[in-house]
Amino acid sequence: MADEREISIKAAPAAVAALRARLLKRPGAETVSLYSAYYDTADGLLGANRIAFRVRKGDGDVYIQTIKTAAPADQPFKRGEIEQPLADERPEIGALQAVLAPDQFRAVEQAGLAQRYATIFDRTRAPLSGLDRSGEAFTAELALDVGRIEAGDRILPISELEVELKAGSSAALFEVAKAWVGGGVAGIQVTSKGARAEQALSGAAPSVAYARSFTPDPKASALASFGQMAQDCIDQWTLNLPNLTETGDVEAVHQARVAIRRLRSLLVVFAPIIATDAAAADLAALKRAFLMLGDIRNIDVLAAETLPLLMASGFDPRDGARVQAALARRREALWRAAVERIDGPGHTRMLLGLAGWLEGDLWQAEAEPVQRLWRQRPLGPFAAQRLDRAHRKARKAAKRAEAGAIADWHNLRIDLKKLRYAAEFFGGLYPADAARPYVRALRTLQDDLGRLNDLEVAQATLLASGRAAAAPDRAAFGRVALYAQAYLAGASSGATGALARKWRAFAKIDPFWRED
Amino acid sequence: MRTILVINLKGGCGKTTVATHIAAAMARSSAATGLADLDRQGSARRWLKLRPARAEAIQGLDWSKALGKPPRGVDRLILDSPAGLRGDALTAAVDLADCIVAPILPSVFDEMATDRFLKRIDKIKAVAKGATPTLLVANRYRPNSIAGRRLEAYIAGAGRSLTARIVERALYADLATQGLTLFDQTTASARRIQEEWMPLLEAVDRA
Ligand SMILES: Nc1ncnc2c1ncn2[C@@H]1O[C@H](COP(=O)(O)OP(=O)(O)OP(=O)(O)O)[C@@H](O)[C@H]1O
Ligand SMILES: [Mg+2]
Repeated sequence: MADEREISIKAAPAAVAALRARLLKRPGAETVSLYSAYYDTADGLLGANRIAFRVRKGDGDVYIQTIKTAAPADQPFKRGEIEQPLADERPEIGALQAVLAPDQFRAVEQAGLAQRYATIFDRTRAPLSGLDRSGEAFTAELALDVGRIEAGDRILPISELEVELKAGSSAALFEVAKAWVGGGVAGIQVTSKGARAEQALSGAAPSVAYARSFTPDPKASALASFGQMAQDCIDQWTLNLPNLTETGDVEAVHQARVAIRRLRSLLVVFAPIIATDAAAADLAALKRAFLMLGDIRNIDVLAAETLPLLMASGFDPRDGARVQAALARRREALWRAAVERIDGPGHTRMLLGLAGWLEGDLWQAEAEPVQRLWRQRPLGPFAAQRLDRAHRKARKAAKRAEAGAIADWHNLRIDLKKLRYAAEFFGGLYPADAARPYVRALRTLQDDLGRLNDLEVAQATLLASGRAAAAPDRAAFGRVALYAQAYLAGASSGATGALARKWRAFAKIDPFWRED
Repeated sequence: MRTILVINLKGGCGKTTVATHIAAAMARSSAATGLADLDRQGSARRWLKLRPARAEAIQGLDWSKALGKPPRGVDRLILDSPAGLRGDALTAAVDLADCIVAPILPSVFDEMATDRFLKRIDKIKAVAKGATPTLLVANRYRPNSIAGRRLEAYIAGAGRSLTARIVERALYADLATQGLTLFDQTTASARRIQEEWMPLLEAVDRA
């Protein structure tokens, strides 16, 4: 949510009346009815040119046409907006000449504009001003939008509270938004009205957000690098919320968890130089969200990977079908509970709190003067020190595992995961072919450990799901769990030898961050 | 790796105190730190022996007979030198260093000695070329004292500047007997005093 000036939070229909009354009590508040029609050619020429074409009718018979162009990549400040009054609701197509090349304009003219979708809502807006936590003044506008989107033959409700920052720090934006969460206002509305309309028209599920690849600048300070990477993690989490709450795809659940795990590893890697005190409660809530999605993820892995593996080992396929069906029901229930939590006030406050912690630079609070040394050191040496530490820790865990039991291999798995994230965060600092063999060997080792862990988790998930299942299913779960147990016993007895071999292969590779 | 040579011809001006403090601060900021003792008296080595396990670890090196090889994996190596290091031994130590830290006392008797010492150092090639900066630290400094003002005037007159001013405090001797430094303490008052050291540490880190 970097540089964001606007946040929308879902408002429950039951809460709208009270919320509107509350807003209207503020001096300068008013309600206006807004009708907006968005136009494009049938084959979406304007959209392809990243142009939005809107005719809006306000109170009274006033029509305003607005053309918005996206900023070209090389000229970020050139985002255009052309506004003109219209005599009636019919769009004035000639205005497009200002933003389209002549041949493109002719193409649009020939094709003709048609309404693509419309938004119809009442907006109650109220000005707001004050001081943020650091004492800086801000002004903002609160807007409660209630109405609908008409897109093709679909009607989508609009019911959201928007906070728009007019002046002040973006930390203020998150503080204000957080203060308005509760009483039916909860759940970040990540997707804009226009994007929701387009999504309804295309019929596609909201997209899944992956981690952006990060190219660290070795000369930038370690501190600045943390800010960027943490922002990316929070973005990845936020951008997966629409899919998570609307369709809950396997991949969205997975990537949302990846986002949280990356953030948490980032906090471990950067622990000596950042302050998490102000975010402690939010980070604890984030961990709970992670575990909650973990229950869903475990079922997904069980259903898609482990169960087919077990099926091959020969249990009654009717048991398999029963278990699959029961798992699907359980997933559905867990997912619904998760959506309720994600769109609830606790999660919303957490997300706004974390964004504010990051935007407000609260993570830069200094615990002791020597932290300044760390923070000012360029990322290069910092990365090498942190990688070295994670590497040494994994070596120690491996030594224990080689002498110990399967549980020690699981501890190694956790340490390797942290090492892997550190290698991924910082890998871009080194020549690609330097890091590759190390990361590849690390990955194969991790895959083996992961498979073993999947089996163990699968067994636990089978038992837990069995306990929660209805009586006829319970017996099927019991029988499948027995297969899983036997399979796991077989797999782990042979595994440690292979794991030790893979570890030794990995340990032979020189750490790519060391100079000599 | 970065090597920091703490040196002055004068005895008792605070070389070991400054060397141990730089080492502890670097270790505290998670740099793998080594402390090499070039002094036969062995005060730095004794200090390391006293250092409790809970304090941030520092790798000790006995270089009192000859300069050794910097160990692998060390990010910051601090050299504590004996008083009166001269000739080839001085040149060899300076050649190893990325920067020189010279503690000086605000005493009339120290001015001439400091003068001689700085002239000698300046003749060494790496210093003369400007490759190895010399950072001056006023130790046992007392703000607003006559001696303190004299030192400031003398340094300014020589066209140099003080990188840090370390105030005279009884706790330095106490801490030394426990193998500790101010950077091993987390009290609010310790943190305030740590600020006196920060300009030096930041300069050392940049050098
Ligand atoms: N800022 C200070 N305030 C008070 N006492 C100090 C301070 N700095 C050093 N001392 C004390 O002065 C004495 C000499 O300091 P130190 O041993 O560090 O000097 P040195 O230059 O290493 O001496 P030598 O030449 O013998 O190696 C010690 O007892 C030390 O505790
Ligand atoms: Mg000494």
